[in-house]
This record gives sequence, structure tokens and C-alpha cells, in this order.
Amino acid sequence: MMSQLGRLFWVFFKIGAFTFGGGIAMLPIIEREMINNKWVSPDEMMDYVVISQSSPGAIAVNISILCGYKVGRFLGALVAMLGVVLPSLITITVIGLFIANFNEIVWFQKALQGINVAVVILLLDAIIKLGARAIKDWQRVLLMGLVFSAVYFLKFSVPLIIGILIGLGTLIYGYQLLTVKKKVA
Amino acid sequence: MIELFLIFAYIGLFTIGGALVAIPLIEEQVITRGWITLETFIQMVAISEATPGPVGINIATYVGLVRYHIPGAILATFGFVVPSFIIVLIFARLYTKHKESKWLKIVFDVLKAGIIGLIAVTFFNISKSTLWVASTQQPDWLSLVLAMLLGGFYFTLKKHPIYMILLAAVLGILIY
Repeated sequence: MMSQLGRLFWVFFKIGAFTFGGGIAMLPIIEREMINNKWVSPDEMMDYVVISQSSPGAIAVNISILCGYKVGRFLGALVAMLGVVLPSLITITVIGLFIANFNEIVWFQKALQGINVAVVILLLDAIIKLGARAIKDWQRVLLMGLVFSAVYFLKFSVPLIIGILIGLGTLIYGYQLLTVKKKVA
Repeated sequence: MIELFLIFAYIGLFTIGGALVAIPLIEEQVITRGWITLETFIQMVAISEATPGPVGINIATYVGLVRYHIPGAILATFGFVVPSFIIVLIFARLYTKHKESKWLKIVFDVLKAGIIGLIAVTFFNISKSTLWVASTQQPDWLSLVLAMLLGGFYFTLKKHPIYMILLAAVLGILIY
């Protein structure tokens, strides 16, 4: 049990240390690690992304809690979260206390520019991987397009979209219930 | 100190859908209290986006550090993640208990499709800011070439993403 937790901590520490550009860009790394360690399947990961997006806080942290929970319940969740958060804590503290002119460290700024481009590629990878799992028919393509337009052009807020989608899902569920009942009757 | 913890717990609770949402909240809570100036805040945001880890966490750590030194950094960071921890655990429990629920399956299906749309928005925004030069309305050719290089490396060799990130950092130093 202890070694499993230790491994969990180390894996999420790695993930936290390489998370640039937001939680979504981190998905390819997390998936890779979860699959390599045989902890979480790609389909489950998809569900975790859904839960993480709909919950408060950073997506990266939420996903780590969910994966940690699966591997080691409460303690696992705690350990995974600590792992993901620690690199941030250390880096910012060191920079804040010791490095006065962080913005002027040229080589770091350049490396960062390169990493920002890597983030674009990671996001593309996430869209392709997750899209293949989530988009299975034209209705879903339409839904994806509508959500995209609502947020990108109309600036809907994310919590609002999530609420609307849950409502939509509930409507569809209700409709299916009713049509089944009709057939039976 | 407790105030610091509680304020970041509040911010963490209302940051839904991405750390970017945290920024206006932090502004509202921390700057109006006079803890840091807007100028400093903007600098902190820039550094938080440049360092590993979620932006929200980084900013929380930074503000906490400025406020109460290392204990402050720890308090603010944990304040920020505590709402996540509690709520996500509750959701995790509910999820494992009701995995077979028809309603949950349908709602999840809808959410999955919608979330791809959300990720696409992030993709477009980041692509725009990284690969496009707004002032001249032209592509940033250097970055575009780098993107194609990295993409080629990543999608054909299929190595662990960490390698691509390291490669990107090294190439960034060389070409920019």
C-alpha cells in the first residue's frame, strides 16, 4: 500500500512539474502515466475530465484527486493532490523569495515561448483523443459546435454551459423514459 | 492568516471551468483589500503562467507568499484546493455509486460532447496568442514552423509528452 502511494505521489509530482498552459494541455501526460501504470483507462479518464471541468478549482488538481481516489481512496486522493501541487508551491516560493527579476531571465523566457508552442500541440492531441471518444454521431458534432460558438463568440460562461448541458441531458433522459413508456402501453 | 485561507477557499470554490476564471476573483478579493497592487498582480499572473503548475495555484501561492511568507504560501495554496478536494471527492463517491444510472450516463454523454467544444475554445485562444501576431494580422512564422516540427515529432514518434516539452524548451532557447 505504501509503495503504491509513494508511486502515486511521484507520478503526480512529475505531472505537476510539467503542467504548462493549463489542465487540458496536461491531459496527454496524465493519460500516458495512468495507462503506463495501469491505473485508469482512457474511457474512465474521459469521465474524469467531465467531472473535473464541472467542479470548482483547477482542472489539473481535480483530475489528480479523481485518479488518486481510484488508486487509493481518500489517502490516494490526498497523496495525488499533494504531488500535483507541490512543484508549484516550491517553484513559486523559490522564485518569489530568491529570484528578483524573473522576467528578465532571457533564456527562460525563450524556453517558455517554445513551451507555449508545445502547449498548442498538446491541446491538439487532447482534442483528437477525447474527440474520438466523445463525438460519435452528427448530433454530437452539432452539440460541440454549438458549445464552441456559445463560448467563443457569445462569451457564455463555463458554469452556465455545464448547467445547460446537464439540463439538456436530463431532458433527453425524460424524453427517452416517456417514449419507452408509450411503447409498453 | 485564517483570513488568507478563507479568502482563497472562497476563490477556489468559485473557480469553475478553468483557472483563468480565478483571475478576476483574485483581483476582486485581493486587490480591493490592498494586499497587492494591480501592477504587482499583473506581474504575478505572468510569472504564474510561465511556471509549471495550474495558474490558479501559482497565483494563490504567490499572493500567500507576499502576504505571510512561506506559511502564507502554504496556507493560500491549501485554501485554494480544499473546496476542490471536498467537492470532487463527493462527486467521486457519487460517480462510483451511480455509474450505472441511465440518467447519469446520458448526462455524461452530453457533457462529454460539449466539453470537446470547450477544449476547442481553449485551443483556438492559445493558438491565436501563440501562433498569430495580432499587431500585424499575420502568422508568427517562426512559431508556426516550430509547431509543425514539434507536432511532427510528437505525432509520429509517439513518445511521452514530457520529451516534446523538453524539446520545445531547448528549441525555444535556440530559435527565438
